[in-house]
Amino acid sequence: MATLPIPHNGGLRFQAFHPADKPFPVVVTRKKLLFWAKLGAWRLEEVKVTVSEVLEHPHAIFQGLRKEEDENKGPDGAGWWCFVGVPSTRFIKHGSGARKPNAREIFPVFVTDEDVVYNARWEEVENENNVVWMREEHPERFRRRIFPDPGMQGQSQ
Amino acid sequence: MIAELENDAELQAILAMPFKPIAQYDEDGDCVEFFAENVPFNAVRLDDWVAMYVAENDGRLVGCLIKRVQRLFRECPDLQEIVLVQDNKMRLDYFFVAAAVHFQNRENVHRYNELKRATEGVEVPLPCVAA
Repeated sequence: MATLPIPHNGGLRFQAFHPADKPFPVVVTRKKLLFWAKLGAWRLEEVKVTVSEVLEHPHAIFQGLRKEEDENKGPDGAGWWCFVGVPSTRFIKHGSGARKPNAREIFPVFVTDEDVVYNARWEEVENENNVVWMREEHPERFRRRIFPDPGMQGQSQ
Repeated sequence: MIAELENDAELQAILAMPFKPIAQYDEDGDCVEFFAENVPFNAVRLDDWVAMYVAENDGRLVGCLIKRVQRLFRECPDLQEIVLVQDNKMRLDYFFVAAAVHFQNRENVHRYNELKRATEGVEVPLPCVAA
């Protein structure tokens, strides 16, 4: 189980896993929280619980979305991060509970270099299962995978 | 629920309202997100700019994400000319027509058409557009 976010400037603040440092704060802004809340309580639960789980216990972290790369900051191109995980549950609409994700489902959370979440959604990977997908590089989407370290396969959370 | 959210009057009022299609520009992510329905969805990445959202239960189109909006306009002023209407609002259906031509990605033409129909008349205010 992940730690629930705490309120922050009307939005939410999460603790995100860092592969080489202490956990660091990541926020969902007030504007984004209210927008996503318009989808209903299930989406709010997804933001609070599922986003928390993936930020705190990612299976993989990718760095530098391909088309954002010239906006990246830092000497090694430290830019936008995509945390990917397979959360323990998937919320279903209108209080009908949750189910376990299937073997092709992943939940990416996209974070800017200002540590702001701008997108979080379920995806289904094609032609393989989610664990295999998260251990590959996906150069068509990301510059590189920073966690797990390619030399430390099998040690992801 | 987190106690502060339970006592958040604005948030609770939103949760109590019936759903209607929504779209918003996100300055942090430089992206526009649109929802035609409020159902659990999967994102299907079409290309570097667009992800379509499909219903988790039957795969029907229920929304989309358009990325790099301001950057795209800076790089393609012609596209901006077509897509922006008065008061600096972005017409999403115009975007999908213009983008289908501009990107010349034949593989996704039918999906862009589907997105155009789903976003007919939807306008999203943008804060400002760099020249």
